[in-house]
Amino acid sequence: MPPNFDILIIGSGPAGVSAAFPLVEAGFKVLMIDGGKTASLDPPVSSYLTSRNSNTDQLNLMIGKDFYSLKKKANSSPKLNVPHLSYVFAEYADANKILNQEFYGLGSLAVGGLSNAWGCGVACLSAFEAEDFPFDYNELRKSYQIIANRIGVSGCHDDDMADYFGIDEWAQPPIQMDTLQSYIFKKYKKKSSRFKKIGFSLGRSRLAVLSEAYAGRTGCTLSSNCLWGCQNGSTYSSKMDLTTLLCFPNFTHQPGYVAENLEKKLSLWSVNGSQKHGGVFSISAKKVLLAAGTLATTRLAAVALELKKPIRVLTNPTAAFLLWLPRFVGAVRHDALGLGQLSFKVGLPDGDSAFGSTFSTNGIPVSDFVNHLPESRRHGIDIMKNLLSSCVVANVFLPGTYSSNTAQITTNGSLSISGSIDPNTTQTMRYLSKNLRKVFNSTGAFLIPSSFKVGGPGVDAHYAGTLPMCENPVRGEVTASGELFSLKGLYVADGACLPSLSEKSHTLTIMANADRISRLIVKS
Amino acid sequence: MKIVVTGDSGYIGKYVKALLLQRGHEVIISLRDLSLQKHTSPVFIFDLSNPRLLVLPKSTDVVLHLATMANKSPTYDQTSEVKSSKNLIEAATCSKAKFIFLSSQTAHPEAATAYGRMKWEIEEIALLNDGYVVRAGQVYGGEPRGLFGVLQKIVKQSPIIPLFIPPLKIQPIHVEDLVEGIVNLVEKQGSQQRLYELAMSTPVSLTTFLKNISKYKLRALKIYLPVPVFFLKIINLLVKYLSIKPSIVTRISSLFNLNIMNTHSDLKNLNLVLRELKDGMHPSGSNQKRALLLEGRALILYVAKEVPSNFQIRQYVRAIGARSDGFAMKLPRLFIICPTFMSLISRSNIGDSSKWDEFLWRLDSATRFSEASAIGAKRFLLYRKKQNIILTMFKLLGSTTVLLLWLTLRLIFKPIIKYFLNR
Repeated sequence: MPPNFDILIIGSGPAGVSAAFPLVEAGFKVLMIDGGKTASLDPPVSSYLTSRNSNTDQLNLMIGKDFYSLKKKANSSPKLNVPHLSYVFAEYADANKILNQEFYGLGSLAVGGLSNAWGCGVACLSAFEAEDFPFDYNELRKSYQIIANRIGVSGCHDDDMADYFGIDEWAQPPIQMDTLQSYIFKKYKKKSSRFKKIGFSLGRSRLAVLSEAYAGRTGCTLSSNCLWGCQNGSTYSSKMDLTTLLCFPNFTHQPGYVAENLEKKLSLWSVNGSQKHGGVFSISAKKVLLAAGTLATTRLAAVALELKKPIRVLTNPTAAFLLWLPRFVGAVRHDALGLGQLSFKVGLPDGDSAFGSTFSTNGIPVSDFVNHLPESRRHGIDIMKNLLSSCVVANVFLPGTYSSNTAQITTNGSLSISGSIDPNTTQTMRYLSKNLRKVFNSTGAFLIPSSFKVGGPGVDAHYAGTLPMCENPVRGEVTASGELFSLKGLYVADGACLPSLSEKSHTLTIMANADRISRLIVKS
Repeated sequence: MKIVVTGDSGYIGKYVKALLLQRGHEVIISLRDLSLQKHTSPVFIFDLSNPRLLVLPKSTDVVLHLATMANKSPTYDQTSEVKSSKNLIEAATCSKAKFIFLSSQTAHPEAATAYGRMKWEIEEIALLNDGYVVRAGQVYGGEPRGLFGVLQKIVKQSPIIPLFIPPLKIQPIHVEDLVEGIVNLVEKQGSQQRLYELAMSTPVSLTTFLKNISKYKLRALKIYLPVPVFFLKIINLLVKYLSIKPSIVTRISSLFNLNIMNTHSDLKNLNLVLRELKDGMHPSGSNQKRALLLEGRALILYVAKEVPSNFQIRQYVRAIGARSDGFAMKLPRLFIICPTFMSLISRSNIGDSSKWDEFLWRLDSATRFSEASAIGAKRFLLYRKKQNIILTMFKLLGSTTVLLLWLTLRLIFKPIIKYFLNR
C-alpha cells in the first residue's frame, strides 16, 4: 500500500516546524505529529504587577487548581513552578519512556514543544564554533537568516556582544531596559576596555521577542508576564509557525500522537505509537524526521539502531545568582521585560567562555527567592521585600564540554539518563562565581554572598549531541544531511544531531540546522 | 474468609462488621431466632439466653464471639450465657474454625461484677479449646454506647466531674483501634499466642478520661469535685443488698482494682498503633482535620505576619491532602499557639532530615499561599511608591539583625528546642 505521506515529522517544536517549511514549500506531502497538549489557562490580560495588586484569583495564576506549583521542588527554574506552563512539561518522561537518575530530563508533549516555555535567547554560532559541523558554514548561515526572518528577533545594538550573537543584521531594535540594568550597562560602557582585558563583554540580549509589530504579532509592552503567558504574542512559540504551515494543503498536523517505535518495512518507515485518547496508531512514510526533543529522539533512534552502548548527553551546566545594586534600595517595582535584558560573555581558564543573561526580578514570585533562605522564613521575607526591588537576577551557562551525562537503552527499551557533575565543572563554577563577583562589583552590582546556586545536571534543558553529525559517521551517528547511519530514510532534525554544544543559546542553531537538513532532502 | 459474628449490632460489633466487609470477607451474622431475619442472606441462629446444640454454617473459617447480655436485666442469669458460649466454642472446634472471644479488662475469677466473673469463665473455656481471647480496655469513641455511653451521659448532664481519691486507673482504647486489632487477629495465620490484651499501655485516671470527654468530645467546661472511692463502695454494697437494678454506680464499680494490662507487645504483634486519647475523643474519631487547620493557620500566620483568611487555611489543608495522607505534622503546641517561635526550627534542630524536608515543603507551600493574593503582594513586594533609601536601608538592617538574633537564640537553646521537637 502506498504511503499517504512523503515525510513524517515527529514533533512540532522549533526543530519540527523549521524542518517542515522547506519540505512543504517544495510540495512534499508532510504529516506532523505531536503529543497534542495545549494550554488550559489563557494568558493574563493585565500586567504582572497589576494583577498581583488587584486580581482576586491569584491562587489559580500562581499555584494552580491542582496545587501544581507546590509539587515541584526548589533549586530548579521558576518556569517549572508556573501553573500556566504545566502542560508544556507534563508527562513527557513517562510517555517517552525516559528514566532520569540525578538528571532533569525535560521535554514536551505540547503543540509547539518546549518553545512554549522558552527563554527566547537567540544566537548564531560563529564559523569557528561550528568547526565540528561537517558541512560548509555558509549553509548554516543562510539557514540562520531564513529562521531569524521568519520568527522575528530583536536586540540589534551596537555593543560588545554584537559580533558574538552575529544576528544583528536581521534583528529589530532592543526592548526597553529597566533602570537597574541600564545603570549596570552604563557603568560597564564607561570602563569597557578594562573589562575586555579580563575577557568580559556585556551587551543587550538578543531575543526571539518582538520589540516592534511584525507578521501580525504585537511588540513587547513590558508586562512582566513572559513567564505567565504573553498576551501580545511578542514571544515566539512554534505554535505560531504551525498556524502558517496549516495554510498549505499538503501539510497535515495530527496532535495527540506519541511515537513509541519505528520499523522499516521494505522501503518505507512505519511509526507506531499510542494516541492521546487511547488506542494505537501505525503510520508509514517514505522518510521520517525525528524532532521529538533530544531525549525522545535519542530513544527512538537508539531503539531502532539497537544501540546498547552508553550515549553522551551534552548539556550546559548552569548557575544562577543575585546581584544587588545598593543605590536603588527602596526603588519602586515597575513592570518590565521578564526575559534577558543584558547578556554577557566571560572567559574561562581553559580559553572557553561562559554565557549568561541578567533579568528583572519582577514577574518572578518572591517565594522562589525566599525558598533559598529556608530558615527563619519570616525574616527572610522581610529582607527580600526590601531587597529585591534593587536586585537583578542572572544566570550563566558553561559549554557542553563541561557536562558529563550518559544515557543508555535499558532492556525494556527505556532511555535511562544519569547525570553527574564533573569535579572540574565544580571548580570552574567556583572560578566563575569569584570572577563574576569581581566584574559586577565594578559595575555597582554586588553579587550577594551564597546566592550563587549551581543547578543540577539537565536543569538547563539544553540537551544535545547524542546522535552527532559526522563527516564519516558510524553506527549511532548521523551524516551531514541528518540521516542516521545505516538507517536510510530516517533523519534526526533536532538538538540530538548537533556535534557540539557551545555555551550560547542553541535553539536558533537547532532550527537553522533543521531547515538546512530539509533543504538537502528537497535537493535530493 | 467466611466469618460468623455474634453481636454484630452491638457497640463494637457494628464496627467489626463494617471493617470485615471492607476488607472483603464474607460475614454471617447471628440472630436469636429466624423470625428476626430481614433479608435472605444466610444467618446463624444463636441465643445467649437459650443454650442449645449448634452447628456452624459450612466451611466457616472464623467465629467471632462479641455478643453479651450483661447489664440488660437485673434478673439475668449469667450461667446461660456461659453455657451458650461453651456450645458455640464446641461447634467451632467441631468445624475446625478459629474461635475469637472478645473479653474485657474486668475479666477475673474474683471480679467485682458478675459480668467480669462471667467473662473470665468463658475465657477459660475458650483457651482450653485452643480459641483466642481479646481483652479490651475501656472502649471509647464513635457513638456513645456501652460504659463509654454511660460515662459520656454523666459528663453531659452533670456540671461536675468527680475527682476520685485515690485515682481510679483505666486503660482506654478507641473503638476503631480495637476493631482493627480484632480484624488483624482474624486474618493472622497460625498465631501461637492465645490471649491478647489491647488498650493504651500507660493507664490514665478515670478523671482524665472524663476530662477528655468534656474537653474534646462535648467541648464543655466542668467543675471538678473530689469524691472518695470508699463512698462509692458503700453505695455499691447497698445496691447489692437491696438488689435493685444495676445502677451507674455498679457499672463504675467494675473499674475498682483493675489489673494493669501490659499491652505493649500485644499491640505490636497485631500491628496496632493507638491514637491519642484527645484525638480519639474528637467527634471525627481523630483530631486530624483540626490539627491540620491549626497547623496551616500557624504556618501562614508565621510567614504572612497576619492572621490568614479561612479560605487560605482551607486551601493549605487541601494542598496537604492532595500530596500526602493529609496528616498534621505534630508540631509542639508552642509553635501552633505562638508561630513566631518557628524561627527556632532548623534542619539540625529537627534532626530527622525527612521530617525537615516535610516541614520545609509545608513552609514553602504556606509562603506561596500567603504570596498569592493581593494582601500577599503588599507583604512581599515593594511597588506602590518610592521608599526612602535611608529608611529602607534601616529596615533591611533591622530585619537582618532580628534574623541573626533568632539564629543566636537557636544556637543557645538548641538542646531544649531539639528535645521539644523530637518529643
